[in-house]
Amino acid sequence: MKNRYNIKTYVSQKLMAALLVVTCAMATACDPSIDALAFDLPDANSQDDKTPPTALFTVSEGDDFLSFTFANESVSATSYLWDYGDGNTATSLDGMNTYPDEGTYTVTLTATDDLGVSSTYSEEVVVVEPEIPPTSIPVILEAGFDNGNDSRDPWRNSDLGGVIQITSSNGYHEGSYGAKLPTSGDRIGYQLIGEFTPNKTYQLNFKYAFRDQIEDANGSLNVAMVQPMTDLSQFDDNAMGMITFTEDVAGAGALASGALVFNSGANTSLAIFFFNADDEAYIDSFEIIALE
Amino acid sequence: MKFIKYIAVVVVGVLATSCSDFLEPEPSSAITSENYYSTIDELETALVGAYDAIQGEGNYDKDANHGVQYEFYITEMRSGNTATKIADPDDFSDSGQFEAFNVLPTNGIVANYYSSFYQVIFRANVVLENLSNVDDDTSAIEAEAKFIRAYAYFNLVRLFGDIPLVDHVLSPSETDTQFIRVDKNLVYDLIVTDLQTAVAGLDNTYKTRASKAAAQGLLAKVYLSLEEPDYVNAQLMCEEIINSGNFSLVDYYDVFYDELNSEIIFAIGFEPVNDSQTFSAQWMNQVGVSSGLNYATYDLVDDLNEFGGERTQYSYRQDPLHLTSVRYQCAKYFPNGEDGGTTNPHQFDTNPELAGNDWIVLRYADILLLHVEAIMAGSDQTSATAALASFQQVRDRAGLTDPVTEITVDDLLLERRVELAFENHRLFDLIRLGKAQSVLSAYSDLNGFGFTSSDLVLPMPQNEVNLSDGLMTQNPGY
Repeated sequence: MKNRYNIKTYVSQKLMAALLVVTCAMATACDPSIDALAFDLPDANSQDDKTPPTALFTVSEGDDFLSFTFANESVSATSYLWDYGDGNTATSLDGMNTYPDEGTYTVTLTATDDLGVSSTYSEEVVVVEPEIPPTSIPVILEAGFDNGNDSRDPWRNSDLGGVIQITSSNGYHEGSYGAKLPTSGDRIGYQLIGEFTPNKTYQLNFKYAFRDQIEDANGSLNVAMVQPMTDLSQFDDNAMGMITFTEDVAGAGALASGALVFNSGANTSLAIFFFNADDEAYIDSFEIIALE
Repeated sequence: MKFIKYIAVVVVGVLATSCSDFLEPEPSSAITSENYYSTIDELETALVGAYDAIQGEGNYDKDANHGVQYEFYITEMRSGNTATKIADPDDFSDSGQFEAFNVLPTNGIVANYYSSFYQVIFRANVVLENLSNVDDDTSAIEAEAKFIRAYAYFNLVRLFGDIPLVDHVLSPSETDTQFIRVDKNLVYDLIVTDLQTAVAGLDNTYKTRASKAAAQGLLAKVYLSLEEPDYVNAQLMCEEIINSGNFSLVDYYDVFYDELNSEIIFAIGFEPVNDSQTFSAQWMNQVGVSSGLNYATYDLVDDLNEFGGERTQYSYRQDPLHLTSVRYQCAKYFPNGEDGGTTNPHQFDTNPELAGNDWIVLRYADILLLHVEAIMAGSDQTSATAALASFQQVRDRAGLTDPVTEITVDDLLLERRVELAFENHRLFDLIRLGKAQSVLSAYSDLNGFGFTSSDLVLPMPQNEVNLSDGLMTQNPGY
């Protein structure tokens, strides 16, 4: 009997202990209220912010030279502060500002995320009223043929014809020398020049004369602006403009002024190309100017 | 025993020599990609396959690539030109996200266009990779494949910004090339060299396939879209087309309903029923599966009314079936030319959901206006004679014959808008001419939409980002 009693006591004690443990566990673990979590450390198991904000923007000019728009390219941020550098600020996502006057302004974007981490990015904005870009005037080498036979070199192109002759005959040139195309008509002058500003109107000025060597023939002189060419067959396609003088109209002997007006079109370099036919012709003092 | 040795040697020898052919037999009655591309004709079938990928499938299957048929969603409907029939900033359906500039990375239409155009690139790369299998002169085939590849990349780079640059057929292990986005300037480098090859190697035989003029026109637009635009070369490309004398402006109605007319430089061809498209139906009132897409905004209609001239009547019409409010539909691509009348539902002689209208990519009026843009060369205005002549031609055709003496950037943008409405140009024009942020944020504010500058590029499709295992980055703002 005594043993059996002991067993009973033992069993009930164990049972009680087990019940107590379970009850305690339930009381703490199953409590759905926030109080049960009150003693959890706030930072336990939290991770570093692996994506801190990065501020970035790009600038583009608006409707006039004083107004600008700023495209926000920040990553991982939720609020923004724009400082446009002229005292104006904004908190919008994209920026837009009109500056009071010309000047250099530093635009700063501060991008902040919800953890309070922020990043800044700055860029200088130069506000300047755009000038109409000056029309570029190309340089012509040996434009006046004044270095004697050395003047011929920039004008050579054996694919298109023989080289010009140089003259010092009185009345047929300005300065020391001028260029001469003899009666055979097989010599040419060709010089590639640049930089042209595309789509501008230019005027090529020069002096020219005929000498009446062949009495029956009506000599002619052609001056053209052409796109670079390597063969005479390309002339029709490549010519941007051409002017022709004839002996019967221009007369012979006296040095006259000639001009060729042309548009540069979609070109930054063009060639001056001149040639004669049927009688002797002279040409000198090239000059190029921009019109308008 | 001696014999066993010899037998062993013979057996080993037989095994060593004969196995490979035996286990990998060349199929004698089927075609494989390894033995197929051996003649010019066979390469040409691969080219046709690449055009097929641009066309996309003419149905509504979400899993199928729809190619250029879905382009209006991601271009025109993000430009302030068009919207769904009832524009609503809270419409978060795939098609409703565009008009309000609320596109999500999970948008299925964006993903569809992305995979469609990489499919085009893949098919072009297959052609290029097999050129060396053919002994004949393949330069024309190469030029055509490179045109197709450049066309696809030009669309993708303008829509997504930096993108993966795939210039060969990928093997499954090349995940870096598949997913890592490269600087868009490198993508443009490939586009320019591909198009230069195309210009040199093509003639003007086709309009629904690549041609010299198509390559020149596309290259002109590419030059103008570069970070540092090449205005002089863009002008030269336009002048090559203008001076060729092969193209001219036609009556405005005929541009769209007289297919392959003399104004068309490059179009994606469709045929009714067997090789058809769905967009013509989708743009009408409950003719396709939608209630109505790509409807003109009031903003566009106002500009067309004021500045369109004779183009206005052929550009849009009031929706005759929608009676609770005034809505305007595109009139340039009625299914097979049938406008459905005013009965509800519309009546058609042909099936409008199997329409054969070609999709126009490049036409002469576009080139004339690009010519003006090239001459303007980044300045605010131009009065150069050549620019005025091109501009005047486009306006004269619209009956606006008063002489123009000066063209500003805003004039040019407006002319492009009313000339090329519904043709997927507006968004790219605004971006290229630097007016996108100011114009679209004003439009967005007026309509309660959510435009920010980051909406100028689309999100990378979320499924691509997920598949990339961290290799593909997302665009800012998404």
